[in-house]
Amino acid sequence: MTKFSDRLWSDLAQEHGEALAQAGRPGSRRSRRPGLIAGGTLALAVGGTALALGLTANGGASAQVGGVRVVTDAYTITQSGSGSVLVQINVRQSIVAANAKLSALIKENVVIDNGAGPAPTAGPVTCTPGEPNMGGPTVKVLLGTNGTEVITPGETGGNTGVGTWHLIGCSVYPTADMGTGGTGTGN
Amino acid sequence: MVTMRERALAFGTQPRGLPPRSPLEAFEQVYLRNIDVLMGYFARRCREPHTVADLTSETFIRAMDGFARFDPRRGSDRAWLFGIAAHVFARHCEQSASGRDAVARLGGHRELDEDEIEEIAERIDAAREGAALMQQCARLPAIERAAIELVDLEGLTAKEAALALGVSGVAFRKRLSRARARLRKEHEDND
Repeated sequence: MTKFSDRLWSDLAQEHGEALAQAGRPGSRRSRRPGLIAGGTLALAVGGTALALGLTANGGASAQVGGVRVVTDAYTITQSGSGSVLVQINVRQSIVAANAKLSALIKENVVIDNGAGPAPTAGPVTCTPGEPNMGGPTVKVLLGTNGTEVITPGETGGNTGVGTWHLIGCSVYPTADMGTGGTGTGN
Repeated sequence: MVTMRERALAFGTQPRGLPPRSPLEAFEQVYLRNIDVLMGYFARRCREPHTVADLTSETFIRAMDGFARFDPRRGSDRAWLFGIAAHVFARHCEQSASGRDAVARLGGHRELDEDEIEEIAERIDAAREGAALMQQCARLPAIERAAIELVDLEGLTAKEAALALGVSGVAFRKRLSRARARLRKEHEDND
């Protein structure tokens, strides 16, 4: 190694080695990023009190792109004049497709964590930056029409996800970072 | 005596039979396999050794942060790192264009001694040929430039490069083919 690369490695190991050790090996912390989930049917994975939802792409979404508003059967993305973005989704529908459009608009993707029961407060959840120094617009996610979604028996294959759901949290990540992450759901 | 680390560097492969004992060791192998190509990537874009050092450092800091999410079954570590590097460079350009001080970078500015500055300056010189090719590609759309660079300069497969750029394999191959055709035509026109 050159002197630079040797010293850089030494600094990286010293300053970030412990965090790396806590995070685990590649693939050990399976990504909850919906955009990376290989699709099939609605997938639920229980992790502690939270659920990470991986949702299928909803084929046949006819996009009606109006500059700052994208409306499909599966999701609606609205970007205001100030740049802030609202993503409206239903857990039984596609956040994969929503993320693809979001990525095209602002080069960022969202990751949501859902919890059982109704939302304590109606309305959208503001996403927190998944990485330091992210300078993108404010992104909010609204589940259903008011923050709570109810999936009744018969609505999904095998009745997966039947119950009442709300968003526990939301994070936003740069698209470039999402390239080759994990493929599963869960914590 | 040749150490495992030197073998890894020499052959660009992970030493066989000795799986890394910790995430840090696993990441060290990724680092060793890719530090040179990553520096080359930034050396083609920047003439200032400190900038090359800062961007290389930031790329690996981000990579360490996301290492647990990296899934080698979905693509090589090199493709993954190029995806991060492209993002880091794009952010650097945005910051430069807006006049913001890039001190806000994750790794801050690295202090380099004379030897390190000389080493990196040599890398920048060595990357001149690649930089010249990239200049020829200047009129191509960004994604076509990136396609040429990742495949023809860095030696990634089309699949790996597509992953790094976040586009489908089919779309990538079309872009690559179109970029090569345009370069060929430009070359013929110049002759």
